[in-house]
Amino acid sequence: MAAVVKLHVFPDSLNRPKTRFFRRGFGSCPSPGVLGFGHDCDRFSVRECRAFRTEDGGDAKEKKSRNLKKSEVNSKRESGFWSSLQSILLRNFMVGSKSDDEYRQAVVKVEGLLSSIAIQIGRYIVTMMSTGVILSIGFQMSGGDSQMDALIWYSWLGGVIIGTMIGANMVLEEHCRAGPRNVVITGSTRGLGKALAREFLLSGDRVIVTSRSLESVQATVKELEENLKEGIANSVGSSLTKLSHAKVVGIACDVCEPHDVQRLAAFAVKELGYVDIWINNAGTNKGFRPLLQFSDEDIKQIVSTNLVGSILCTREAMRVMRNQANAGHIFNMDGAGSGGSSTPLTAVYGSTKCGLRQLQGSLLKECKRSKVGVHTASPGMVLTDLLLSGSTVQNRQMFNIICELPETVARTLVPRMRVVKGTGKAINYLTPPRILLALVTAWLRRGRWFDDQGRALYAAEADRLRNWAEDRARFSFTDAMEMYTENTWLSVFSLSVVCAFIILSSTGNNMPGT
Amino acid sequence: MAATTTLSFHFPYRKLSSRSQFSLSSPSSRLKSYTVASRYNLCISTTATLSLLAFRSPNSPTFLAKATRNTQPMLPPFNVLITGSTKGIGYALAKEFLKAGDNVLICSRSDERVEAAVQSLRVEFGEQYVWGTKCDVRNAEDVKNLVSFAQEKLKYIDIWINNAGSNAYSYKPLVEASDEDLIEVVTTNTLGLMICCREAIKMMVDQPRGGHIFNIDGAGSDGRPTPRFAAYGATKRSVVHLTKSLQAELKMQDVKNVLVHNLSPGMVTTDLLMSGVNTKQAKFFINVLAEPAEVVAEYLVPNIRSIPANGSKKPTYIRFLTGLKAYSQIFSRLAFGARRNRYILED
Repeated sequence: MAAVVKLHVFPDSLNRPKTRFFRRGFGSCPSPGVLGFGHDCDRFSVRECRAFRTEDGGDAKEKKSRNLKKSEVNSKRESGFWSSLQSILLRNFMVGSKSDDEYRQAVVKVEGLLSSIAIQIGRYIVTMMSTGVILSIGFQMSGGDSQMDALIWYSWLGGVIIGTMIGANMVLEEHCRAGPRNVVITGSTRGLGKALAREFLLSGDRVIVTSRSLESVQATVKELEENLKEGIANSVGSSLTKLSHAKVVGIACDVCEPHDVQRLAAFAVKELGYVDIWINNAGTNKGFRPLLQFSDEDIKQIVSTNLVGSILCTREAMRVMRNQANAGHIFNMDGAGSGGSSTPLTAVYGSTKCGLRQLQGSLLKECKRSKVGVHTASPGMVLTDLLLSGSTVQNRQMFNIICELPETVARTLVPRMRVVKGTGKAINYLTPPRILLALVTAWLRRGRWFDDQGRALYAAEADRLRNWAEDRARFSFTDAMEMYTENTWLSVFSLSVVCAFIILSSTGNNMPGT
Repeated sequence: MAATTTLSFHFPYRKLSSRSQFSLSSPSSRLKSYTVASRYNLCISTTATLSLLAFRSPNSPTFLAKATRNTQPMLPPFNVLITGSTKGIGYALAKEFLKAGDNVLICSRSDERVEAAVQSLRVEFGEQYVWGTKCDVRNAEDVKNLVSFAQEKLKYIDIWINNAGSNAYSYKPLVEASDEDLIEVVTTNTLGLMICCREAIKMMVDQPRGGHIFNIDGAGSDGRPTPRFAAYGATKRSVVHLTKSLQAELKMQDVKNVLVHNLSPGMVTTDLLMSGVNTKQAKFFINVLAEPAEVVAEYLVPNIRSIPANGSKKPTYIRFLTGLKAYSQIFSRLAFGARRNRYILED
């Protein structure tokens, strides 16, 4: 919460130096109207500051309201800070005849609160001092040059703003991530579905896994429970409380059988009460070959799993979500062909996926006013049976460059699926930066998953998971970057442009002869 | 069972004035989707192209041998097969082909309807030009029987029109749609069409004259949303995509004598479309844009016939209701009140 504290305070401290500088810097400004502010330079600076303050204040307010909402949703698990303080004070002063035991407990509580407050204040002081140190070093180096001073102030200001925005976003995300979600994932006993289920589970959610065969569902549930136990054993503190709500259950369901899907929905409601996230992940491809070589049964299975299954599951999920109090989100998985480009050798698969993208548009219109969100998730290319069955050596050489392990993809998709809001969002793994990275590093990636003969080089799932459990704690920069909304980056960018403009215009004015 | 309706059911007609470009299916509305998925598809198609080298060696010699063996130019009269052709646009197309002097094979799910349609066409055009058989396109066995029936009666098929399509005659939000309807729509429009395409290609590759396959598109095939008939739109979108993929696939395999085309009849006043007339917007667009099946067939058939007649080897997309036409019709309606209450009484 350090960011929040900072938010409240710094605009005030900012006010004075900034005003001074604007006065100094713009004193000789011939046409301040260029910036769209008033003639008076004083007014300009004041307005500027106000603008910043309202922005930050708005942020904080929004956050507060979110916190409030969240705490309501979480059925008031944690009593609010003020209420607890109040109750303690009341107890201390109003009721003198309390037993020692209760009094001691209250004191412990107050102590805890005060120490957390002290930590926040300490953090704040450290932050301010460090920025102060940096500033003073900058001033020392500038040697009293007013232009350089102004530059330093601007850059400091820009840094603080960017920092607070990122910090505020992190706090927001932290809050959004809280609370167990109820998740249904179809086709989740293998490949990406299983990885998604595991990732949700380890984020502390309640997950329902399904697949056609009962045995594999049972095996998967067992395996995921093992993973959860390991996760609980390895975790400490807040992550432990988070994981205490997690659970995984399973039911056999053939997504192209209407009755099975209805049973799945009923099962989900019975087990979880309501459904937050429903992922239509079940999909099949049956290998890469021309249409002529697909058998009747193959075509039928692909169409009924991909298209019929997704339509039926979406409908059922919408029915469940319409009857529940809180909003729900449905994700349909994209695949090759979703964008509309041709998919030779996987004609059937591609055209079903293309149809699903159109369905997404129609559903978006149909669900406009309801609280059901319809989204797409695009995992890109994942090293699963779907992709690997029937792939040739040449295919696999290409896979080296662009493919990822299901766990990697799930790690990126799941946090964003959990915090998704509204409707019609597309959650993609292969974003342009990632594609660019893959293409740039293509040479390095040659032997990543398969060798020259197309033999798999990557570890089996169980080994992968073991290594991966240690890896989980590590902070991934790209993931962190993806988490921020586009708006954040846009505003950071525009702010930097504004700063650059101000700096350039103020330096330009003092140039002789202009 | 005629698949009709194109593009424009839910026309963004408020935005019309701001749109200067007159192409309904231009991908401008899909620009958004050109981000990740399409790039990823790009990747997959490059992989596929690479893998083709591997594919070609075991598979295509047979293909090539068939394709290069004594090819003949395709001359009229043509042998035409139309699925789902006992009513609606399929029937109108059959009639129009017969008028042009071609041989036509019609089929549909119901024996009686096929019988009745064959009888009435024979009365009009003579005994030796019309054949009919029962065929449920969803059933692979039926389609195979259809092919053998065609080979027995007509020896070869020049033009195969995949017209069978369904919307289960229901227009309502997906949440309210019934299981049977959804499954019928998807299996008829997508599964049935895929099986038909496969069998048609299989048959035509061996024919000296080669062959042309036409897939009929419908509302949603340009990727625009189709609320109230979401499943139908999705299947029609997948039809267009299948055509595209098949074109690429045939090119890869060096099959030159079989071509897959798209055929867009626009909005046709068949049962399929008329069962959806219950909103004001729908009434407006049906009055403004829809045409009777005969009018559409009159336009489409000469265009279809010109393709084999010219010996064209390029896949085409024949549209009845082009963007320009649609916009001008809407304009004349808005400006002069033309076509008001043409088929249905508005408000």
